[in-house]
Amino acid sequence: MSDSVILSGVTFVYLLSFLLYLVRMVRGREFWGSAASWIARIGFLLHSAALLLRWKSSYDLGIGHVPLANFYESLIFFAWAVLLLYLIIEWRTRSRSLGAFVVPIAFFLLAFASISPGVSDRIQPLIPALQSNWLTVHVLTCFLGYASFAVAFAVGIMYLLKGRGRDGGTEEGTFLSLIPAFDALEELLYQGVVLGFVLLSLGIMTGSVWAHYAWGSYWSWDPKETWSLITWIVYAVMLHARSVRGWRGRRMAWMALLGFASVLFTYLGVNYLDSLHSYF
Amino acid sequence: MGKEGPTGIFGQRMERMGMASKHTGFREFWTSMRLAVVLLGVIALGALLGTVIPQQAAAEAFAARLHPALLAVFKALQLFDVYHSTWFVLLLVLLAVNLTACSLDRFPAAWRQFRGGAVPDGAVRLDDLPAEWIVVTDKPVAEEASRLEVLLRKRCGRVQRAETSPGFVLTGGKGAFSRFGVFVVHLGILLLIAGGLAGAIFGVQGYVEIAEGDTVNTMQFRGGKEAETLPFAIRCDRFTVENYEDGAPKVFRSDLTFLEKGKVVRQGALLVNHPITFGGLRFYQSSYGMLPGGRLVLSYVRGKGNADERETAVGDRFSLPGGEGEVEVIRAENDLMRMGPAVKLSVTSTRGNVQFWVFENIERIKSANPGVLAQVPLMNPGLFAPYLFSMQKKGERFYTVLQAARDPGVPLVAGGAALLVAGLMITFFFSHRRFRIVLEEEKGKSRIGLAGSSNRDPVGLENEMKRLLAEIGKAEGHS
Repeated sequence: MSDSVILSGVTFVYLLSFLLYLVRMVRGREFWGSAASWIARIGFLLHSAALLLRWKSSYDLGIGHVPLANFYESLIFFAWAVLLLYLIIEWRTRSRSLGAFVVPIAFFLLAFASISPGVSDRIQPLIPALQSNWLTVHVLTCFLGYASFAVAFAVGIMYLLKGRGRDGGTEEGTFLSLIPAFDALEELLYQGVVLGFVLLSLGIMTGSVWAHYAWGSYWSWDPKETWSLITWIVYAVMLHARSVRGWRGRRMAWMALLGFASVLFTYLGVNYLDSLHSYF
Repeated sequence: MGKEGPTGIFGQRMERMGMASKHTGFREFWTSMRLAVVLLGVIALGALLGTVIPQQAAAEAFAARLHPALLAVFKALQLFDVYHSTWFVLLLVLLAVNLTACSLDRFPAAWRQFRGGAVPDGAVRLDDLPAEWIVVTDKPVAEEASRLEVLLRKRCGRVQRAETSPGFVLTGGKGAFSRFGVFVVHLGILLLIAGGLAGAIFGVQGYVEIAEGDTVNTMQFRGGKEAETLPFAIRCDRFTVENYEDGAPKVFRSDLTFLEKGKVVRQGALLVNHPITFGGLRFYQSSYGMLPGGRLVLSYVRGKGNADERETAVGDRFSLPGGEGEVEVIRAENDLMRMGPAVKLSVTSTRGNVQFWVFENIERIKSANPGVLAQVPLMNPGLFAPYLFSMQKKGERFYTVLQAARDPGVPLVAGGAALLVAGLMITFFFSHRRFRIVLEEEKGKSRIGLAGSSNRDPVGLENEMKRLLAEIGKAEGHS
């Protein structure tokens, strides 16, 4: 069975897990949450197996390389990283409420990879510009960073939803009461942004080193480079606003949304601009 | 841990650095965070403009479509070369000044925190602490104080011990160096900006174009700048392109020889991702092409007969043997639709006129796209049956384009990047945690309370305090 077949299956596993997390949030019974967790874990195992299989297949084709070398592969790794972070958070915080907000992100990424006609799931050989050891570390750091920002984005949404419910004056329904307390969300959002920021910095740095060897300049204001800098600035401002001006709560949640919009533009929007990063 | 948590004993749980916004003096202006945010915002916006408006060479076509008045505005604002414009560079310099001012302004406070001077020494009483952070042991206070001093020292290194009327207070801190992380980050950014400017001012970006077999000793520049003569010469012995089976490029390789005064000094293969440094310049495989020239050889065969061959060019006309048709070469391409060299033939006969392309790599095209000749007759070299045409290019030469760069800013940038990342790690993955253990005597027993504070990561602090409290309570005879 080919890896892309497994991955289309995993897409539906994540969808199921997402729906069950949602049922838990509405019905308030932990049984559904537990089922959702197990399904998410099974999906993650299959997902990991598919990545390994794809890696191996590329060697069988005689063009062996890490499966991080084109747009399709970046999408499936992005989704994998999002789920990895989510499962770690679920395990550490023993709270399943984040599932209904983070798992759908992984689902959308995989669905986009499987369904979008513009995304080829073929294993392609590495063109000369990509034949570098910096490829792996650059893509790894960038997408782990993106995944971390995705988690912060989901937490931001949760924060705003809960906040709106509170301002509505009505008593919190099951759904909102199952979203963790503001303090906990606040902390999680901050951790997500910090981890993402460090990884993004590493991603930009490794990319610069690679560009230095491949393109003859560590920085050439390519749109993708420029947008990653813009994203970096957005999060840098956010972190300073917190530590120096004491920003908290809703403002930070909005900043997490703005930052993630910038991440998405760096990742996807730049494809509509003329870029050297045309492989991703 | 609520707002009134055990950490309240140190005042604010999350300490904030001073903010100068009430005053608008010269110093306050340059050290303000607001200025930094505004500068970063404008830099981000300017950078964004540069990704939307075509830049440099790409700008010409766009500029031609603009209204003259708008064009004048764009030109005045240097919007066709945002990243090298005066205002963008000025913004970076202002950011550097602001960053330096901010850091100098805040450094003394961080230094005091590092030295621990900011720890309040006022009377600390157990009653100020929430009950969950207090344990009671059976040992006398003095004995417990000595045990806990050792315990805290293991964690914190240096421990301050003070005697109070009901007992003792032990104070220790760890991770104080994390106070400096932010300054390391800022220093890194300053180096990055300095390195970038040094590269822009003193750096050189040119290119060298060499045909196979030729020797070149000049470096060209884009944008009409005069070529520079190099103190050495480069010969391209060979240029090679290799492809994967699906036609995607696999290797671009220039075999180069560097000569000084006619003598071979160095030989090497230049590949993408593997630059060669020579004579202070770094050379990169940038692009390649085929020199015009070369000979086109067209051959044709009738059925199973013998092949005829002729050297040809666009405009060449000839009759097929037996007068079955007149052939004219109407186009010749070096690389048609990325499928390699091809010529277009027009054959006129009593049957009318047919036109079709003859590709040099027809066998490879056929095997990569089965059935293509039936689907696209225009690509069928046997369209004028029973003749089958083929073509070959002979005696042609590749040329290779090397990018040449000299950038004295690179070491600064590399150092800056390393500092930046190290600083981020220090700032975000360590925190300055301070602990205070308060011991009070009560009827021969010891009541021991724990308080803590941290400059960040309250969750990590609470976890560590829980572990510490468990160790504190581990005394024999704990009740």
